[in-house]
Amino acid sequence: MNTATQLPSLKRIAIVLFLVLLTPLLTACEEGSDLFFDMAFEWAQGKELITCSSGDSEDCDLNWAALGGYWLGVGSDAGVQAMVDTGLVVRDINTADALADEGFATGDIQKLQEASKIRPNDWSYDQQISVLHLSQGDIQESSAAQLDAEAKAQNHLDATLKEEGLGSGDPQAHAACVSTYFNLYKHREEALIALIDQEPNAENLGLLIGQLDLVRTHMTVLEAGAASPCAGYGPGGG
Amino acid sequence: MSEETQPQPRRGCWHVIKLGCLGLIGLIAVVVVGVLVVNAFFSGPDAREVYSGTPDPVATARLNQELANHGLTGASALVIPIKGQNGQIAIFTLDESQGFQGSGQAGLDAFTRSLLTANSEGGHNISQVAVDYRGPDGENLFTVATDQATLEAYANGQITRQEMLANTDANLSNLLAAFDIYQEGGQ
Repeated sequence: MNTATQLPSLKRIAIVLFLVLLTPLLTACEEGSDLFFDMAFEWAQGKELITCSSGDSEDCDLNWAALGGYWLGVGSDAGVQAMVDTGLVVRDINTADALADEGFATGDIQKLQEASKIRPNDWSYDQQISVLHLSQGDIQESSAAQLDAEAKAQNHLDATLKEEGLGSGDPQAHAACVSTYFNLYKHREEALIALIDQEPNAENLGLLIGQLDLVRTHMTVLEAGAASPCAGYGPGGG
Repeated sequence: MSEETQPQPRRGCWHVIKLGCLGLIGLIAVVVVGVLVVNAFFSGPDAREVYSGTPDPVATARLNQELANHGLTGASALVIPIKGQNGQIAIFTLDESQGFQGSGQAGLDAFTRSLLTANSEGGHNISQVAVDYRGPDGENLFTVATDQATLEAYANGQITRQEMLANTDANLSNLLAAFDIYQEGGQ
């Protein structure tokens, strides 16, 4: 049975599998191209997407039933499907970051809000909005955006603990809390540093530097395990 | 009557063929609708939901440093918390339009080891690894993903490359989309 050589369309699909999927990775590197082709071949064989009558790749046919089954199998496993769809996530982040960078550089808060709409659970944009408001002297709006960021971080932490079945007294709950809040503070620190570097003579530079000192204190306290948003988590706090 | 003696068209056979075709179309429609219904009711959260959290800036910077240390131009990393799990995914974007040309077996192995070392030393809690591969136009061609444990077993020599790949999954939708692009481009 050699349907791949009888039907050009099947041959093209085979080309997709072996050339489009994998060969472009290392086109300019002879060793790399071989590696990529070998890995493509091994992957397709491992998944039984191709059947070969010999060790030569030219003697292989596409296994349509296996291909369909694999496709449906991946589609029916939400976890696997999400993992192989991460290209969409990267694209969203790139789009949102481009908007945020533009908004941050020009002082256009609306651009940052558009970025936040693309990634509504991502608190890094709220931190940037908060810092930008602060640089413009709008302390009330800055605080509101900071509260939004903190609420998103807490929601993320709550969802993690719930799904993992962790009580607040569990040591892993404390670690998850520290990780979440460190992320929150780190994004604020980065936004503050970026704006201070960008506008070293800003009218409200004192406010920005004060916030930078404050957030660094929060991070130190968090890492030291002293009183912090995570004091209520872990064996001693639950 | 002469009309009665004329041969009748083979209507019975034609009807059977028509009914067979209709039946086949109906069956296909039922299967397609069934799959859509099952997907609608039983599918879990999608990638945008699962990876909606804020990227980990420390882990992201560390992995990008590892990529730079290995001279991998056009490669970048992003570490994102997994919603509902106490773990993170490391997404590597390999972009031909940004100059990515690959690494070879030695480079692949060295990078895999450094990724695992960075993860354990930094306590980044990376449990999944995905590769977002982009072609010359910068658009995603395909995405492959595996779990950290599989990668670790491969790096430690506990499983072969074939066994590691057998635990790797790929996005076939993108693969077929790429097929259309390449078909239009000519053979």
